[in-house]
Amino acid sequence: MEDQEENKIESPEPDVGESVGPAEERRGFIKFLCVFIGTLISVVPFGAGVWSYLNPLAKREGRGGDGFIKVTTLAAIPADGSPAKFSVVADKVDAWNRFTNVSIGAVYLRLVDGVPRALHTTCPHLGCFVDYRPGKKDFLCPCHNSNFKLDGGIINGVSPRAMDVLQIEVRNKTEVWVKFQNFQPGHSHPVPVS
Amino acid sequence: MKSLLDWIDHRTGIRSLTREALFENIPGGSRWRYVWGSTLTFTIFVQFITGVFLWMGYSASSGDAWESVNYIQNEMTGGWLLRGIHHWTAQ
Repeated sequence: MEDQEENKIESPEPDVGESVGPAEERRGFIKFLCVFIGTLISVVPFGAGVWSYLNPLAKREGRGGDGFIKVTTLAAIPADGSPAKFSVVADKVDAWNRFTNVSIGAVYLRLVDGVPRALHTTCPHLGCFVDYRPGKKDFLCPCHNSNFKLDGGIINGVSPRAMDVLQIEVRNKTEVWVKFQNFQPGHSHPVPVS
Repeated sequence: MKSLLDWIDHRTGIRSLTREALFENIPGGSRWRYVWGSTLTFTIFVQFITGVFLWMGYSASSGDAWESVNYIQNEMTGGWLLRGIHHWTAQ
């Protein structure tokens, strides 16, 4: 019996269509079943993978709001025109987490004729935090001694561009709102970090 | 299409390999219990495939590992299915 089975496997394909015996029929059915089930159980894991891999296409959530964040009030900014550092507190969202009310950065705010101006606190050269020097009334980056004027312009140093100016709005007469965003270091013009 | 398959076969010999894998003669006759070797091979390939896809949503840092798995399971479309297949195939 077993020898016969072996012979059948090795022999060329039987003439299908003319006289199909019950053994061939059964074998054909089992072959079909193997291929069918095999395909099904192979396609399902791969399909699940592709389905979840394409997940970002299905999600097009825009960041709500106009990007402005309330930073402080006008009264908190020094009246003499010197800059003061304020931290920007907002919800931080990455690929997996949402941290509510954390510091996402800082801005220098100063009043020019009563109008607030905002500068990013990082150096456009390599992203170190820039210090304000009250004695010399300028900004100095401690990493490579880049020097900036109060309006952010370059005095000297290796920074490829002036300090980054951020959009600012006064809302409800006293609230200072800043459109906080980070810029890529090292470019001669500001390139926002998406 | 056929020339492409011929080329792949020429470079890899995949046809004879497939034929050997699917139509191998088993000395002493076939038995249902002999399927477990193939099953094991199959499951490990399922693990590879689902694992590579899971990898794309996973972050192996101390702060993100749990969160990324939670994200795969509950946020990603089909992530529950992918992780479920990976999980249960591993058993």
